[in-house]
Amino acid sequence: MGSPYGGTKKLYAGPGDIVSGATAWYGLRGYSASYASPGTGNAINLRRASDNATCNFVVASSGNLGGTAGACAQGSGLSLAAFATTDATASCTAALTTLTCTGASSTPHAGSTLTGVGLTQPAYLVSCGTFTAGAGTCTLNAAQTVSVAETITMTYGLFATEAYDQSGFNNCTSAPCNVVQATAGNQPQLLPSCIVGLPCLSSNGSRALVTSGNAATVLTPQTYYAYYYPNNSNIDLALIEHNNSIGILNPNTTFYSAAASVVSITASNAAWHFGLAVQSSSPFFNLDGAITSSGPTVRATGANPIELMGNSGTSSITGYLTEAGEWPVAFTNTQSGSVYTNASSYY
Amino acid sequence: MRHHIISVLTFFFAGGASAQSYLVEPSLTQCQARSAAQCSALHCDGVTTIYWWPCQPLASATTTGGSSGTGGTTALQILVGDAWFGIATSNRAGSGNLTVAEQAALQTEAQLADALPWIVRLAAWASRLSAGQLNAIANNPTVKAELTAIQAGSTVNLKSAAAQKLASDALSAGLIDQATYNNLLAWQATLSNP
Repeated sequence: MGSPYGGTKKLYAGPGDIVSGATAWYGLRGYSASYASPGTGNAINLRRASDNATCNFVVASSGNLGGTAGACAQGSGLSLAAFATTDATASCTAALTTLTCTGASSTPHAGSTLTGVGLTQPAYLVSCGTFTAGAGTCTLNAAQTVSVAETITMTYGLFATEAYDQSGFNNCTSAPCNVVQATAGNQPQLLPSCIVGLPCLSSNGSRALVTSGNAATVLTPQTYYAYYYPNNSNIDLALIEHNNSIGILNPNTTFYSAAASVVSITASNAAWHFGLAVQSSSPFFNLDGAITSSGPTVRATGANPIELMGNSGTSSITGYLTEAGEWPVAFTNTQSGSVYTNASSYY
Repeated sequence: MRHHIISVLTFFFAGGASAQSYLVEPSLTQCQARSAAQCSALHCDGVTTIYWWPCQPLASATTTGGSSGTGGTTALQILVGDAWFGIATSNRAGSGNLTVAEQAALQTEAQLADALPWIVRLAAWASRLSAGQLNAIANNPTVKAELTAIQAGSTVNLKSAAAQKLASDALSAGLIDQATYNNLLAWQATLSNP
C-alpha cells in the first residue's frame, strides 16, 4: 500500500489471513490483520510476581504483542517490563548456569528475567541463594558467559493466567475458547525476549493453559499447528489438544499428530520448529516447511477442553511456544506452506 | 495426546536445587482452600489467579500423616527451597507460609509411593516387564547400567529422565515392544483424548 509520502507500508498479516475460520487460535501476535488493526484485542492476561496483580495485554496494530489494555489498574499501554517492575539490579558475571553478583539492590527472585548486554536471551533466574550485603549467586535457565562484570537488570517474572482465543468464534459454550490457569504454580511464564527479541510462553513440565469447559466437538478433518521449542521435554505431551492433538513424543526427537492413532516424524530438540499436522483421509505433516505425507486418518471424537502446552498443570511440555491453533478443515499443502512462511517470516 | 504417559516434571531447564514435597490434605476441597489461602495472603486477585500451590489428586488415599494426621486424597505440591512456591513466600504485597506443623507434615515423593500416580514401588514397576524382557535388558550392554541404577532405589519415578531413557533405549534396542514401552511409563488413564 502506498503511503502519503511515497513509501510503502507493510501491512500485518497473520495466519488467519491465510486460512480463516480457526476453531481456536492463541498467540503472542495477531491472528489476523483485522484482529490486530484496532490495537485493542486481547492477547494474554499476565500476572506479575511482584504483587500478583494481573492485566490484559493487547495485540498492537502492528500485529506484535502490545502493552497493557485500557482497563489495567496499573495503567494502560504499559510495556511488559514497565508492568512487571524491576526486581533488582546488580553487577554480575556469568559462567555456565551460575550468575555471581555484587551490589544487588535487593535479593532477586526465581523467575525474574534478565537483561544485560552480554546475555543471550531468553535469560531468567531459576533460583537464587542467600544474598549478603548485595552479594550472592543465582542459577540461570541456561549457560551464559559474562566474563567481565556488567550491570544486569532483573525484572519480576510474568505468568500467563489466560490466553485469549483470537479466532473470533464462540466454540466454547457460546464463548471464545480462552484457555486459563487459576493456579499460580501452574501458569506458564512469559519470557519477554525469547525468539528474535519477541516473547514466548515457557513451561517447565507443569505449566499449561486449559479451557474451563469443553470446546465444541469438531466433526470434520482438522489441522493443528504450533510454533514451538522443545527443551528436554516430556515425551508424550500436547502442544495443543482438543479432540485430537499435536505434540512432542519420545524424548524430544519427534513431532506427533494424534487422532485415533499416533503418527510422528523426526524433529530436533532445543530448536524452534513450525509443526503442522493435517488429520484427514489424506493426512500430512508440514514440519519447518517440509511436507511429509503421513499421519492419522481417523479422527477421535468426544467433547473435550482445549489444552495449550499440556494438561491442567500435572504435566506439560518443557520448552517454549509462541502460537498454536486448530482449524476444522484440512489445509492444502499450499495453505500449510503459506502459514509456515507467515510464521517463519515473523520469527 | 493426553497426559497419560510421562513427563520430566522435575527436570527444569537448569536443574534447580528445589525439591518437591507434599502436604496431604483430606480432600481436594480442603487442598484448594489451603492453596487459595496462601494465594490470598500474597494478594492474588482471586479471579484470574485463585490458587498458589498446585493440588495433586492421589491415585489412592493415604490413611496417615498429612495436615490432618489421617492422610487424605489430595496433596499440595510444595517446592521446598523455591523462592515462590516453597514453604514461605513474600512479595511487595504480602507474605504467606506453611505453619510449623504443616512443615513437619511434609512428605517426600518416596513416602507417597503408589499414592502419587507417577511414583511406583520397584516391584510394581518391574512387574510391567516380562521375565524375558527384564533378562534381555539386564544383559544388553547399552541398557543394563540404566536398569542397575533404577534397581538401586526402592521406588521409580515414571517422570524421571532415568525411567524415560531406559524405556526409550529398550524400545530402540528392540528389547521391548511399543505396548510394553507405553505401559512401562503409563501413570494415568489410558488414552481417552489423543
